[in-house]
Amino acid sequence: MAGVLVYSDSSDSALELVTLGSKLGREVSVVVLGSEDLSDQTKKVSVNGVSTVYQISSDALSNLLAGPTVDALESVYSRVSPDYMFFSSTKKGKELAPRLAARLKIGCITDAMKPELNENGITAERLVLGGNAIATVASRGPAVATIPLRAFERASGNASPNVIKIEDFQPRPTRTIVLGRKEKQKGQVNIKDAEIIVSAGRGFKKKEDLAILEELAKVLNAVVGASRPLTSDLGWLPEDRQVGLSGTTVKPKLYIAVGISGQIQHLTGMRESKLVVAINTDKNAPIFQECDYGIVGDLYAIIPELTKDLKLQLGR
Amino acid sequence: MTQQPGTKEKKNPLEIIVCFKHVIDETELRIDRANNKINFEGAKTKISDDDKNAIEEAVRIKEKNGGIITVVCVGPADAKKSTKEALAMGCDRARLIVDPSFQDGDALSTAYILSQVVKKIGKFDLILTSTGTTDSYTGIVGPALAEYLDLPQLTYASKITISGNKLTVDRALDDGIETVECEIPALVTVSREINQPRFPTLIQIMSAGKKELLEWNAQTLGINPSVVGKADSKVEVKSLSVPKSARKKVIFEGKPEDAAKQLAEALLKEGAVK
Ligand SMILES: Cc1cc2nc3c(=O)[nH]c(=O)nc-3n(C[C@H](O)[C@H](O)[C@H](O)COP(=O)(O)OP(=O)(O)OC[C@H]3O[C@@H](n4cnc5c(N)ncnc54)[C@H](O)[C@@H]3O)c2cc1C
Ligand SMILES: Cc1cc2nc3c(=O)[nH]c(=O)nc-3n(C[C@H](O)[C@H](O)[C@H](O)COP(=O)(O)OP(=O)(O)OC[C@H]3O[C@@H](n4cnc5c(N)ncnc54)[C@H](O)[C@@H]3O)c2cc1C
Repeated sequence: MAGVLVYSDSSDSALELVTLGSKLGREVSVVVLGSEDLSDQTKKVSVNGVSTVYQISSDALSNLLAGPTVDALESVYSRVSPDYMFFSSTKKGKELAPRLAARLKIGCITDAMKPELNENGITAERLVLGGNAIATVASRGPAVATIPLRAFERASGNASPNVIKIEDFQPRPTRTIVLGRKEKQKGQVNIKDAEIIVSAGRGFKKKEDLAILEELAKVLNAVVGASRPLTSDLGWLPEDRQVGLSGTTVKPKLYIAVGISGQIQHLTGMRESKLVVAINTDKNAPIFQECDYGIVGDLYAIIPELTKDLKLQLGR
Repeated sequence: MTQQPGTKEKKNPLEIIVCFKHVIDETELRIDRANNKINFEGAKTKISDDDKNAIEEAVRIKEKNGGIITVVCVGPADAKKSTKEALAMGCDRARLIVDPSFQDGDALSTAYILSQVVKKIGKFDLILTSTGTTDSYTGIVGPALAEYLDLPQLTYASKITISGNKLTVDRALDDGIETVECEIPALVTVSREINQPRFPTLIQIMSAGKKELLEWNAQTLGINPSVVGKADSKVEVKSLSVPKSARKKVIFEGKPEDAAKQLAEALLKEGAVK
């Protein structure tokens, strides 16, 4: 029985893919790529469930551009001949998986939720039609899939997998070069991993009014997220705060949607939250169909009250 | 636009191919939650949202650098409407690819068909696609097409500049912006934030009817129907269902201070705030 091969541009996410591979009852091999010494990366992925780590270190992989990276993955793939290869649904993962699949002439499933094995392939669910529908798709035979972040726990433990260094890697010639890179400001705000998110929508009348929500966020140790109009359209908050289909998918313990109507593209990004609270003046707003607790009312009256109550109760 | 060594700067027009998908307008779908069904009957159709950004970008590049834009769509016959819209936005000519054997294929099949279309078009410097469609949203077609044509792929473009043979692209990645450069020909997938698509004027809409729109099929492309579409798909769609909500839906109404208090208590009881 052939195993699964996993690759992610982030070691933490690779560990999630290891968990998936183990869950499917397969032997898991991990690929680590880079242009320098790979022992740190290798150590990070040397966890329970991993049988082999394949390393390719090459100057061509310094920026992990799609061309040489796919060449590298192809060379590991052809050595291992796995049944399935998993990537994380990062932007990198989602540009690599299709190209590798096209080269190997095997199926590709992106953003695969609940991946499972069937008789001869892999079955998964995908959100389609702007989040209005869930498609169940299946591969006929071996396949490549990208897996949403944090769909699985990170595998852990200290293990000693085989480490195989591929020395004879020869990338195809490429004419693409990286001229520069501007890192996103690593602000303190990371909505992706936040435990509590309070999100603002078009119910806020002006940017300054977000202050009352920030006050609430402070009391809850929460981060402030937003619907798309507040980020892309109005620019009141940076784009990395946007929750939804074209923003970030979040999975906090508590999600409070304030002045957000609950259009499907927004819901898609927060549907996996553990507990959802909605505050909206319109009792017919779709968000009330998707919440655990809701208040029908004016956010300008409710948020300060809620902040005051919670501050008192939590002793802050 | 390869330059002959030694010849004087010769100005071939930039040849741009832009690909779009004709999709069901997901914002106008009627969802029958009771029966877990989506009602596709009479559903409206459109150019996939972000494909308009790809078309817009092609037009902007042409406005700056000169060139010829060929717009390509593999779709049903009624995609003609969307194809005309793309022409009205500023594309010069269109290739609408319709063949029953192309239907219900996986994304690799679509990418393969597009690769054959590109080969038949022949000359090109730049291919533009979006990053993903509003319907099946796989994001597979761009990179797979680049693979089939053996082209560099510059994905998630938030800015594109062309100067001579040089193509420079800002890529909006998860952790920041990466600026890459390569020589054309290349394939670029654009991000939504790259531009704001225009609305064509009435005159543009009317003159679109006079632009060249050719319909091609499997035969014109020399594609054997057994290697595309459902026949050769490695991924199949088994079923479609409607997402369900299993939320508690406890709603507080009444005075703000009362409702807020009730909510605060509920959150404490749930252990959701600490
Ligand atoms: C391809 C595509 C991708 C998209 N991606 C995203 C995405 O990633 N994320 C996203 O969020 N959206 C996305 N959208 C946009 C989405 O369709 C909605 O337009 C958007 O989510 C609406 O934001 P909103 O709820 O803040 O605004 P609105 O829909 O305008 O809702 C505002 C709400 O505030 C309420 N309100 C008004 N005043 C008050 C008050 N004083 N107190 C309390 N409530 C009040 C109103 O009743 C209303 O329900 C996308 C759309 C498309 C087509
Ligand atoms: C519900 C559902 C789920 C599906 N899931 C999968 C899956 O997991 N894996 C899989 O391989 N296939 C899948 N398919 C099939 C796939 O959607 C089609 O093959 C489709 O033609 C291309 O996929 P896309 O819409 O996701 O395009 P994307 O890859 O998201 O498109 C990216 C860009 O490529 C260009 N492009 C895409 N399609 C066309 C076209 N027809 N004509 C011209 N340009 C185009 C556009 O510029 C577009 O923006 C699914 C289909 C359905 C209906």
